[in-house]
Amino acid sequence: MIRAVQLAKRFGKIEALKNVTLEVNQGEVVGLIGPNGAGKTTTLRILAGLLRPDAGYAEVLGVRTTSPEFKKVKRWVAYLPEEVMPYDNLTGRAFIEFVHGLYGVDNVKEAAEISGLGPRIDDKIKTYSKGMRRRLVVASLLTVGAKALLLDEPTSGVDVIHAVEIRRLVREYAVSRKAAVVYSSHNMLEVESICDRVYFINNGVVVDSGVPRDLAAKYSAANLEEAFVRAISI
Amino acid sequence: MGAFTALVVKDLREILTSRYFLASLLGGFVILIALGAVMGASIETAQKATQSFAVVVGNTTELGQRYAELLRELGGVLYEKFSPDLLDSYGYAVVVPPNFTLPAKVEVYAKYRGLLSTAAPPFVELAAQRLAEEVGVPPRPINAELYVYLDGRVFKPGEVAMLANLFLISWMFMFLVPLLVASTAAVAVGLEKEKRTFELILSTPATARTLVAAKLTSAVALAFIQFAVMAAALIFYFYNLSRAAPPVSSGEVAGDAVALPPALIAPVALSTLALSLALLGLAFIAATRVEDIKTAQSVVPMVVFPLLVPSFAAIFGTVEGLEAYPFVHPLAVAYSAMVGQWDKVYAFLATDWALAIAVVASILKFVTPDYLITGRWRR
Repeated sequence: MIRAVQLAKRFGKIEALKNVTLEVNQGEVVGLIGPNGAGKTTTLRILAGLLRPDAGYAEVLGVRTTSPEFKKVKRWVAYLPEEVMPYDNLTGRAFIEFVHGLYGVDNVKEAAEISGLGPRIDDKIKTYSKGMRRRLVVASLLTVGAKALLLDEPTSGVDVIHAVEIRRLVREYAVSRKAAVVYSSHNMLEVESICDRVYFINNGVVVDSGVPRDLAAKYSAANLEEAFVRAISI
Repeated sequence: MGAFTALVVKDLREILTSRYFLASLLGGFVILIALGAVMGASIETAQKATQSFAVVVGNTTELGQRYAELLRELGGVLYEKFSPDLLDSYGYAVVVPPNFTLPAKVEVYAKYRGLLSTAAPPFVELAAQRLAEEVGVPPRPINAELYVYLDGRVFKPGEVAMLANLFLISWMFMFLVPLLVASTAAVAVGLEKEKRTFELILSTPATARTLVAAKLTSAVALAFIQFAVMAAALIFYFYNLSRAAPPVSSGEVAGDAVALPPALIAPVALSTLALSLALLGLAFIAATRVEDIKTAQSVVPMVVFPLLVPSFAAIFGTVEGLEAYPFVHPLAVAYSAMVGQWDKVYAFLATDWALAIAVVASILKFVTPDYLITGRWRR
């Protein structure tokens, strides 16, 4: 469902991606793991059709992200950017309406429910905490009926209880909707807990990939975090 | 269409409920009213002190001779016959009629030298008041009829009032609307940059073109809301100015002056709209270069304002010779329409709309998701 082949991308002197190849199947949650500047966000932006790769290509739902046909596919793709902040002067409900309006769907009730904001959904977003804002954006995107989810640090700024809930929702979404999910995070323990497979990215290159348990075993590590450190130090 | 509507509705909801936006609107409203009061007083003082004028007086009544003498004491230079050439040397020429009596009707001639020359000077009234005091009749016993020479044509009093209104409205359109449109674009785009929402929007079915078209539309809509509020403030503003320099023509003529034919207003509005779109495009690009709303609000007016400064010429003179510069076209359009040069009006409008279409088309073509997110033009 989601495929990237030998992606390369340069911003001036910075070579953000050198060689990234990955694949995500239907109903699968795949983690992108790497430090800041590893190339995770650039990869997701290419998969979302926001950036054109300098070399290689990406396909989502069988269509290349640089082709004119991808405009139609975007209806089935939801991308959660890492730093996005909802508009202060809108209420939570108005923001959901805005996002759903962009997709041409009307599923506000479900989004309000899974956001966990309760009656605060009708308050202005400027009164929300960082975690509440993040939950609002995640809930808006999880209810547009996407078949490919691209999530960049979805639990960033969210407290432990709600982070667990978001992970549960994402996992459930992939299984129940048979969606392909790319889950990027710094938090490797988080990725380990929800991802079927993971890709280690460092300096714009995929250094290894596999099932979390297998990778830990391969590097004789107690967890994914240790495995990643050993993988990039080879 | 759904994404377009969602974008426009979101922008209106977001910005119209911003305290910053509402405060700036209220601030502008109050400042304009205050400026009207202050500038009215200042213009009154300046006019009293600096006007040079000719007084044309031939055979007239004794009262007329005394009126001419009072005008001379106020700085007028006496002549026996009126000639339009006098207007090359003097701001105004006041003609004292042969049958002068109180209440009197005097003709005042001026050459069009910008908006300030479309009102009769205060010394005409001042001399009449002094005369009235001398002979013991109630004040303001004079009706000054202003005739304005414009491009070889003489405009009669009712037409002059219309001319003044048209040029004033044209100047306001020319200056305020583009500035408001540009400022609103700065807010609308700066907000998206600050919130990093371009990525979110552009990853949905909304295309970069939809986003740009929606931004331009909502910026124009918001600017017109602002303009409507400002126009209400300007009514108070000019009310204060008119109190400081009262109209010298009769009430009947002043009443006629308010009615501006749509045929004159429409081309001015069309020219302004076209130039506003062109400037909106420029403002859009400027706003996408910065990272937050405050910077956008600072940067965009700095980019747009200097382009509008030449329009100030309209207050103190004509825009003749400046027609090659598009951002004075609304006034040039008004000028040409007023003297019946419709071929020029159409040429100005064609230029303005060609410019607007070129700017908007360029933005729609070159603004891509790559550019909005990374700030780099795609090769």
